[in-house]
Amino acid sequence: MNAGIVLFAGQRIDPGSDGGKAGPFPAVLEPAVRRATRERLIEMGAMVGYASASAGGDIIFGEELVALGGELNLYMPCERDDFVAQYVAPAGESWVTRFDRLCEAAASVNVSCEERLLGDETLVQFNNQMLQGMARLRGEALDQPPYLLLLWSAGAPPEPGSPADFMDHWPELSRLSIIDMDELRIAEGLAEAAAVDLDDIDLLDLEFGVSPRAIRAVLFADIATYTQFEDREVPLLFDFLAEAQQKVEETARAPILINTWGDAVHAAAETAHDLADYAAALTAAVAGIDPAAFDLRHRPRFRIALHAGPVFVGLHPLTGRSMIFGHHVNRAARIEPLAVPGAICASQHFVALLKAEMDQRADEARLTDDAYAPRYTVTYLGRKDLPKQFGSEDVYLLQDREARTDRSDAEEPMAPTQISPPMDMRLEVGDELAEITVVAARVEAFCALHDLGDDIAHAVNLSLDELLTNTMTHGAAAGDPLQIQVLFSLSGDTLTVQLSDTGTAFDPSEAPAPDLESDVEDRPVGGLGLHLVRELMDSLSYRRQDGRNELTLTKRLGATAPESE
Amino acid sequence: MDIRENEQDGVCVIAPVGRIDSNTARDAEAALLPKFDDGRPIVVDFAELTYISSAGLRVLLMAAKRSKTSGVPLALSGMAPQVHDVFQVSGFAKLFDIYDASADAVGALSA
Repeated sequence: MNAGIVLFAGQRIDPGSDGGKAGPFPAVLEPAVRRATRERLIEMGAMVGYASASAGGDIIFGEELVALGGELNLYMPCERDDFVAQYVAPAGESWVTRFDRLCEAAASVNVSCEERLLGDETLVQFNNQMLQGMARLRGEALDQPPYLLLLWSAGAPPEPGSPADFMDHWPELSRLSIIDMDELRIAEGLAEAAAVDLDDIDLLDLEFGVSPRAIRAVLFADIATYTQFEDREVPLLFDFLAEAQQKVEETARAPILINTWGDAVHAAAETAHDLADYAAALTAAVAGIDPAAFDLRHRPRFRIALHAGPVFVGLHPLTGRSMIFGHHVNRAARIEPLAVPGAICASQHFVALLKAEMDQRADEARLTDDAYAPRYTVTYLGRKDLPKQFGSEDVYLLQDREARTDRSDAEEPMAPTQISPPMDMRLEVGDELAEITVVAARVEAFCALHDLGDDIAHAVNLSLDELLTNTMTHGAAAGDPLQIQVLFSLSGDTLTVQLSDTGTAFDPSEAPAPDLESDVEDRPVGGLGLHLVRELMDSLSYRRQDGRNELTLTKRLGATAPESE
Repeated sequence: MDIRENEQDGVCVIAPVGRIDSNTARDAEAALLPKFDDGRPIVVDFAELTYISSAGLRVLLMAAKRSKTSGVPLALSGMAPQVHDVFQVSGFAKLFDIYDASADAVGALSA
């Protein structure tokens, strides 16, 4: 199995350690869960992970992925202090410390909705959708379809954000891997978890009420070229838009809410795909009508921003019309100025939802044997600053494959930003020989992610095997446990491997060349390992620093296998 | 690593499966070296060996020495390209009779 990208959902650890609250994940099970998670990550070749950071499965997953040199991306449903209070602190103070340490070690820490949780399951559901969508987007960019890894207990209630909830929203059963907590319990000599009595569910400290929020896709648009129109042209412009609206109605579902103010449009839909369809139809209609037929000197061009998130829904007290409000509505409005006329820009929240919806449609089509081609592609434009203290946002350009014009009708090109795979990997290596097979599996996963080829993976693995075997067998100073770290980094056409250990000083670059000529009888047994390292790698340099052996090896990529003789 | 053994035309065929490294070299040594006491020619078939390190080469060098002193013929077969590279780089290719397929090695030793 090669699953470079892993989305994880795991059972939370039972809150507190006071008796009588035996849930699906008692603290005694933690070592078994850790071992099982680590084994699964090694087996899957996990290099990039997406998870929340609740006490229990999430934090254990994150810690193990980081220990194996993987890139961890954390997503939380609400503001960090609120999240800690709800999902981390109930398990005890040590988990809060681990949470903080994990946030430090993570490649990214994201908040899906910068609001208070308010006991609202909608935020948790949205966070799940974000996690799934971001894993899918990353998978698409790196050409590695993501896997869902679950730490799952049959007895746990399918609350929002639970492994069961994730499984229900994961269509690709062939890319699902489950760690069954009941198997771990039995192996540890515990009874199987009893199914949780639904009447008793408040023991899990979950008190979700009726949600005042709903997940909505949100559009803000305006006519960027509005000032080009003279006052006398405005009625003509509205005639033009009436014609455009007829075309839009023919091809797209109407948004569930639409409000206008002058040339500005604000709309919302229940799914990202519906709103993308509306935005694409509006863009195509405006691009397809001849302005001269309406006596207009210029073609009006919308700039459109799409965003998504949990928003409050209600009726406007003054107009009685339905409306949405909250942080994400304001945020959508701040994204709009980033769009160029004729283009559709979208936040990472929107494209995450859209990608998950399109993958869902693809899977349904597979089940019914229908043809399906995703309608939209996205291009990452980079992280952009938003005005008015809204921080920054990862912004994408949305492209409609059904549009007649290539790319978009945009006036000016928007430069894409490369989404890169993790370029380095840091491993903590234990001091037993069995650890070498773990290193080998991680090197293979790293090389597979970067498509470096089997020869590179083999050369690096054999070299590390020889060096680590030497260090573990001969390097331990009396009494001190050996600490070993390996850092792999890829830059240009060179893979660099830095090996650092606390063993006794030893410079492998000074080792004498072995006898490769004499007959079997006289050929010494041994001395070959370092020779293999020198032959297989392109350079090797050593220094002793701060009581550590620091060895740097490089391997040029694309070079052919070493010459014989 | 597993080690499979069978006999073909009076030749003992030993086939290690997986990796021979510092973790498994002792198992390989324990399986291979006593065979030289039986007197039958020996083929070590690498067709299912994915990986060998210097710890594995050490075992094979000991086997070659044993072959020389005991007079029991030894041949190797079925090396994957990466395993073959290790034999080349280490100068071991010259120490052994290496065949593409185990049937060729068995044929040569049973003749």
